[in-house]
Amino acid sequence: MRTLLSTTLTALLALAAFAPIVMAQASKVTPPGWLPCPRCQSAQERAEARKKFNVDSRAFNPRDLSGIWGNNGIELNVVVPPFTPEGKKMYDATRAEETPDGVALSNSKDGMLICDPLGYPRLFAYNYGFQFVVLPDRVVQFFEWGHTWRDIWTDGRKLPENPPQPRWLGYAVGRWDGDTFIVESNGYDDRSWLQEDRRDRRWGFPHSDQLRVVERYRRTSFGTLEAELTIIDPVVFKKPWTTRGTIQLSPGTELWEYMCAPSESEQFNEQKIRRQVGVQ
Amino acid sequence: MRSTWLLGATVAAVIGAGSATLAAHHSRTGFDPNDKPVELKGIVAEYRWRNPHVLFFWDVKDENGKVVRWVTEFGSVATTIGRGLTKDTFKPGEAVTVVGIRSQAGTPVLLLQRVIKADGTVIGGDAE
Repeated sequence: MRTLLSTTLTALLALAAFAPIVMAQASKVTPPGWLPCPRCQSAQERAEARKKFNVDSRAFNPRDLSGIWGNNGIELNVVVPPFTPEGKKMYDATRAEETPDGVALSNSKDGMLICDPLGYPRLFAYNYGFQFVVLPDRVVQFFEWGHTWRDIWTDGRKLPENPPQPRWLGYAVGRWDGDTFIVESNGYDDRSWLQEDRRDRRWGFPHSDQLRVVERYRRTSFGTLEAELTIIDPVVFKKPWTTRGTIQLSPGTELWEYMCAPSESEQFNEQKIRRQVGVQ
Repeated sequence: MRSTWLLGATVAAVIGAGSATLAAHHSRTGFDPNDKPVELKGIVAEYRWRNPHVLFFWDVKDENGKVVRWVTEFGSVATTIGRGLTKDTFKPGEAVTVVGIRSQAGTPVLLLQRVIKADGTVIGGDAE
């Protein structure tokens, strides 16, 4: 009897101790048979999934980039190359509006706030995870943020010398150099930013329609992708701007839908952002 | 005090480390993080489970008895799910105490630190 009581008490104490964690686990919203989005995982769940799928030691083909990668993007290198005079003018023009008291009205020139497409490489620097799908003639890169994609053509075509229409996500071609997948792109619409300037969020980094981007991806394990991105825009920057980082596979996830809906964003801007600086 | 917050300093540290990146829309402009936090008791008016960020409205009686609708925010829906919340975490009409920093403009907006439910459950915010 004493043993039973002791066991029951221990079980109850254990249950009480783990109750908050059980609540957190139970709070997951993923229906049976469906998977969480990369950003929906907690840090603990992310670590558990990587362990469950044995991503660090699992056999892999370095020339197969298939999978869902990351949940956040790789911020551009904080060492920003010097602007050209034209680039400096373009950068200054991104400065946020201010209230009469001199308080920045969030990052008011950021097209993201009105749901302009993020463009590329901003989607490299900021995303909610992306999926590479490898097809015979292209690698398709799907993004959760904006629920969009870009085609990286691998069928031997060349980049257009005179792109017929500027694109938010540019024109991209890819090729293999050993185990490194090289993506080159051009033809960008100059309305997007490369990234918000996170040193001071009143600005963003602009680019011109002469922007060219070179990316290099190397899968170094089943669960790890080394990435390097170089921005070449002689109209804006005096030197190329290279960012390197590592993107982790997000096993056990699937891309969800993050639509940037203008009506939702406008409500958010009006009811939160403008209100918090006293602009009603 | 219970906490749905994937509890503990370790998790908080991990979240904190990534907060600058996670908070793309999240603007702290108009707040002084050094200001003393306030506690505002009230009733949930709306828990708007939408992007770009989940908004939380609650009604607070001011010193004259007038009901003022306050607002604060969590992260995007996906980020907020990752932090253990769901679309059902709050219901309109429930009593809450919201802790955060007032806007310097004096408008009814808080930089959220945490929400305390009537049963003592603590829900952390981005500024926690």
